[in-house]
Amino acid sequence: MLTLSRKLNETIRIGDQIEIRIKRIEGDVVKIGVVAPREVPIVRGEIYEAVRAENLEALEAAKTAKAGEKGGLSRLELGKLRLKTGGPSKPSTSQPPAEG
Amino acid sequence: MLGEPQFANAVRVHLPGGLIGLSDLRDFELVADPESGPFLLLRALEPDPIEFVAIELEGVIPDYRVEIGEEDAEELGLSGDGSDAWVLNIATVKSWSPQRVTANLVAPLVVNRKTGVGKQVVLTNYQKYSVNHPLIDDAA
Repeated sequence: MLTLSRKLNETIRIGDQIEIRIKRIEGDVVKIGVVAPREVPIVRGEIYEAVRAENLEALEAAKTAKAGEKGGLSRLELGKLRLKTGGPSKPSTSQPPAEG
Repeated sequence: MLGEPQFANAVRVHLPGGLIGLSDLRDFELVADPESGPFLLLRALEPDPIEFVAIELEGVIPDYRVEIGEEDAEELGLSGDGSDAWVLNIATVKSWSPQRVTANLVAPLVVNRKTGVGKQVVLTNYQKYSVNHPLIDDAA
């Protein structure tokens, strides 16, 4: 990994289009500004990892469904998904109970 | 080339940045069905058709608040009141029997209804939410 020392308000350029700027340093917190093209997503590393892992799991689930006996999720199978409540923390007010 | 939507009630959605960690998946169609309640089929069209499940959580999780950064709103061309934003969360069927389904509340797909262009956005208030919030758990 390339490691560079930077002071307040100094920048790092990555290629022609990405700039990283040290905006504030307070104790163990550093505020960093990033300028990048729109198609480059900028996300905190730990969140990126969590979302990526969940997306991959959704992809695996989709592939498994595809490999299943019916050759893919059909709209009918989607219709088998029935919400019972609004979630574990609060009961939903608008969702009807599942038919039995 | 992308063809016509396969279903009459399908809506095309383009995510220029793809899904987070799956940046190849940029073009989708969303298929709604009255039978499926808040669930929709989220079909990635390229490179290979793959069918994800999405859910519209409005009214399902009453206290779910979607807060997105100014830059994201601007990038998607969304108005301040959010009236042109379509918010969909990816749901993962962890198991069909017993049925266990979770939704990613941290990073919904936010789509501009007028342009059909969207993005998987990490909410600014993501700390309140989980990437695998249980929606259905028949095993519990």
